[in-house]
Amino acid sequence: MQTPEFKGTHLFDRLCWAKESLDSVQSDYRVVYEDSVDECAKILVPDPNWMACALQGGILPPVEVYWELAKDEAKPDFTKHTRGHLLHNTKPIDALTEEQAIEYLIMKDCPQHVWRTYNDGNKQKMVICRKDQLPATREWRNAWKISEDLATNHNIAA
Amino acid sequence: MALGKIKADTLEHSTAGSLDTKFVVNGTCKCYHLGNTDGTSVLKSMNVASMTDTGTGKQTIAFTSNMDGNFFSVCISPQGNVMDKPYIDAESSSGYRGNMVEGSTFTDRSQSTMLHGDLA
Repeated sequence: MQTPEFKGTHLFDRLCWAKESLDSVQSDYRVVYEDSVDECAKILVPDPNWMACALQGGILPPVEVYWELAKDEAKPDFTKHTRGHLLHNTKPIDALTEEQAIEYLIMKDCPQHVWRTYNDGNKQKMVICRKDQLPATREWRNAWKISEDLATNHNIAA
Repeated sequence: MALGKIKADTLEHSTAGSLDTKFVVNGTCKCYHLGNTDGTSVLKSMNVASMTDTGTGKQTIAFTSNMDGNFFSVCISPQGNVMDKPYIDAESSSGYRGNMVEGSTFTDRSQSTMLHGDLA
């Protein structure tokens, strides 16, 4: 299906179009990350409707737009966004592969200090894995950490 | 969905009166999600980019289309369970976190949330 020309269309309207026109895509990828040594590992799950938008192309804004809004919100005198138009007026990105979509989502929804330095230090802070590599039960969930013995055929958190 | 537009400021019913369309635009639910019990899958959603399982009983939602700030109204409900204290926190223009607490303990439950407010 051809995506309509959406530049200048409110992002929420685009999402309404996508929800009605596209089949959702349940990704098997999960992102496990640790953003604090005092907290358990967190597991990011891509939304199926969002993934459909990413694979379709022409709907989502560039990830840099979200960074700009985050910068605005981090200012001490922030009360309300005044640059929301960036979401709607910036040229939408082209279609992504599922792997590229996961990278986009990491840059959008994971803390920057995690993904920018995920492989620094003496332990990896972030891992992309398959759903079946997560522990099968929720036992000791609040103590889960990224395994130090990473391999593609092992559980990545325990 | 066709991309034709109907532009109107007012909707008028033959007997029940009229309604300014700004009430429709502003009153629409801007985000909802239904996450499964352990936070590993999003079952139903609108305007959600991702859900993060941030611990037992905690599901963090990130919007695709941001809200205009961190003041908005969210309803949260456990699906099929009577809980003591379901609540929302960590609100920002880019998302919020749903929490399920039973007694004094965070507990994994399927979460359903719905948000009303103003988009950026």
